[in-house]
Amino acid sequence: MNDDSELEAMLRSLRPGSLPADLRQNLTHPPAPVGKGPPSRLLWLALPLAAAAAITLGFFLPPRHAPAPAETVTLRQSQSRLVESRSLEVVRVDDELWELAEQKWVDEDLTLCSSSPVAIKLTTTRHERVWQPVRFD
Amino acid sequence: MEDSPPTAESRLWQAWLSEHGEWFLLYARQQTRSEADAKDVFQEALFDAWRRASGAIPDKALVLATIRRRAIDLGRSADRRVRRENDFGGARTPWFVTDFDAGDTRDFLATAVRDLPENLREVLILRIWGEMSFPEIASLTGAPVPTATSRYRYALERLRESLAELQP
Repeated sequence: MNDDSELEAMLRSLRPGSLPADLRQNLTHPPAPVGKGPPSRLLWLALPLAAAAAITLGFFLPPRHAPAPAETVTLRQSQSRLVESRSLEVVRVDDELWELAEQKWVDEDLTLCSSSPVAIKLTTTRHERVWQPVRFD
Repeated sequence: MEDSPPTAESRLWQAWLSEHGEWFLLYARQQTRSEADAKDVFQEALFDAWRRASGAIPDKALVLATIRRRAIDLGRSADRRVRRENDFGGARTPWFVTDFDAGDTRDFLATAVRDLPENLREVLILRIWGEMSFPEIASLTGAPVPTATSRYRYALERLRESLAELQP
């Protein structure tokens, strides 16, 4: 047996002191799990009160009508107006007179959407050159 | 009021306390500088470890680590320092069971253990009474395994020197 073994054996023979009485008293029972303790008296009182309040509110509050499922409706109106026509040339073809005219058109697009209070109006101006028969009405 | 019969958990708790309680308290005592702090740390650590284990026997290392952490937190607290100083003025609570038949050597050895430097004493207690391996001690204390081993050797050496003073 070497010196270390002898000393270690002597150390092991020292028994740690027992738990003091006050500590032993505190440790009679294991700790209660957190969050699993018995409900307090306050909780027993609060639950029926909360239920009663909910029922009372149910009587006095106006019934809520569930909104109809939102359905988006889009209306679109298009309109083209001839605002100007200018004759550029008149030619005879097979005993018929034809006129080359330059026309000015205004196109208006109006869009209305049910999901938005805003109306969108789009106006564009375009020029066209067209051949048309000359009429003498 | 009549006590209710102990539950299975309560019996498990008592068995665990009987088996390990004394040396857990010894470790708490060596980690703190007053008996009051040791009791606080010990009780809080045991409750904490038991809750964490969710009904199973807590791991020994977990309890020791909790004691260690709480003792460090306590040591940083200013009001606890005052309490320690007050406590230090009183009689020292013995860490080991006094055996009057065993002679002076055991009492001398118990005192010598207590008077070891804290880092040496911690390793000695974990090794002798905790029956922990050096890797386990290293893991708990945060010291490398060779450091833990050499601290243990230094502790034994110091104790041997102290005992030599007793020889005629």
